[in-house]
Amino acid sequence: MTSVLWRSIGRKEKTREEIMMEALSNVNIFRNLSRKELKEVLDLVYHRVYKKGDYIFKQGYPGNGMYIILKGTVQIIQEKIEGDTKEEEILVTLHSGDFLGEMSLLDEAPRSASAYCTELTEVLGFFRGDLMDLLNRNPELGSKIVLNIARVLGERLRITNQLLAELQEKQKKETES
Amino acid sequence: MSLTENQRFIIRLIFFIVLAAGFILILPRLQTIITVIVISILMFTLLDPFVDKLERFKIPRALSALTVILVILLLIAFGVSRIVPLVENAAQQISQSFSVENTLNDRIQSGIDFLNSKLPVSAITTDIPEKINELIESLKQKIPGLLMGAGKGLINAFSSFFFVLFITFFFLKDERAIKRGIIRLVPNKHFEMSLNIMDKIQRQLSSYLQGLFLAATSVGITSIIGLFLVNTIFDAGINYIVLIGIWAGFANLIPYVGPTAGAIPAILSVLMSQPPNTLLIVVLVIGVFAFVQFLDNNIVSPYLVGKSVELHPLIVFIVLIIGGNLMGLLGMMFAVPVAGIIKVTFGEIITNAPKYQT
Repeated sequence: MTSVLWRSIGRKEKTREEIMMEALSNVNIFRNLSRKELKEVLDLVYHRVYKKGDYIFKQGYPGNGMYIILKGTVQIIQEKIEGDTKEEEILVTLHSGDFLGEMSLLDEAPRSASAYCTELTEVLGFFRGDLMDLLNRNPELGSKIVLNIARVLGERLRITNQLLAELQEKQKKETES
Repeated sequence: MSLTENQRFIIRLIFFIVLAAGFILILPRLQTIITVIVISILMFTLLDPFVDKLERFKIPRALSALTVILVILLLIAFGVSRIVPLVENAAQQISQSFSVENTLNDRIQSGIDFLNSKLPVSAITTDIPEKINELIESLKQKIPGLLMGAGKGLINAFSSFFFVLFITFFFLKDERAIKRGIIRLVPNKHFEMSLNIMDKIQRQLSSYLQGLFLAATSVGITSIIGLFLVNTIFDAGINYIVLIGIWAGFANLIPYVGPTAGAIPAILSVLMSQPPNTLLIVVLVIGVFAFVQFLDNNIVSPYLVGKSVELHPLIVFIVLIIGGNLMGLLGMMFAVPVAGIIKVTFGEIITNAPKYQT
């Protein structure tokens, strides 16, 4: 009982800035940044609040940047058109602390799926224009982030290659049998 | 009671008309502040990359912006301190060469005498020279008033100039906060689109204005080099080469009119100093400016300014008239960059907005 009381007295309420900093530091593209560097990134991000039923972005929109979910739930939905029929498939459901759209920090390729908020959602947006600006103003920090993006993409490529190899192996076995 | 679609449309239309009428009524009163803000935006776009470069050396943004503004202020102060005596000298020389009271009256009187001697009767007996003297006298009386007006204009120009620097400083210092403040007002539906378009517009404008500035500088420097060579090789006696070069650079911002306007002071300088081979020197000076224009039109501007902001000659002509009407020579100089900004802005909106319609 006493310890709970002391803990609550000693505990400071997290400020909004601290919550945002923590959210940023959990994203792998910002993982090895110092507190000062994270603060600089925080100056570049946009805080947005979406209502239930809002789209953060829609499939086909030009990719512009990434989002980090502070609060709420986001469904990643892919629309497939086969003939006259339109089908929507929920690829994944993302929660607080997850992030989406980091590939768009590198190019303007159209979004491959839509991001749909299933409840009141708070996000932080970090965009390509600001990353380019950061590379220009603070090349050290900018290149750290770009290197982290490259690491994430490299990891994904490795997983994709592994899956492809497994699939090819499976197909080979199937044709042999 | 809910409104029908038509009623809503009519209310919106009335609101829009009232708003537009109010804007048109207020616009003339806001001309100065709008001009100051437009020039500040132009300066911000031009200077932002320099502030970014300073930030690379870990200098805080505010200090970087202040340094850039102070450098600009020093450059202008230095330029004014060097140029004002030159302009004063040039003005004195010109007034000596074209002394209105003596030469004009003499020439007119001799023309009248010549005509009278050729005609059977003394046909022209008008008192033109006396009329001119009267005119000069009345002008002399008006001069104090004109000087007061010019003084007031100068004070206004100086205060506007400091406002421009002040606003530019805050644009440079708080660029990101201002951008975030604007974006915060945009609804979620148009958030990504607005951010993307704003970013593209800023990038295009920055390179366009820097290109224009560098092209004007290149015209100024090449004109100075050309005139210096003519002076050295042919002993042409062209005065105020640096001043003429700076003028040519600024004048180059005005398409079509600029190149000619840039060459006129150089030709006048040759005519005033009257070297032995005046005609040849005049032809050479024209050749220098033609070559400078050739370099600018075919090499410098296409490379630095690019084709993306190319404006149709008719549009250039119209914006020059509008700029000239609103702000005189300064308006003509800013007309094309402002038209370029408008073209880039609408071009980016038209190109990118449809990508966000699904």
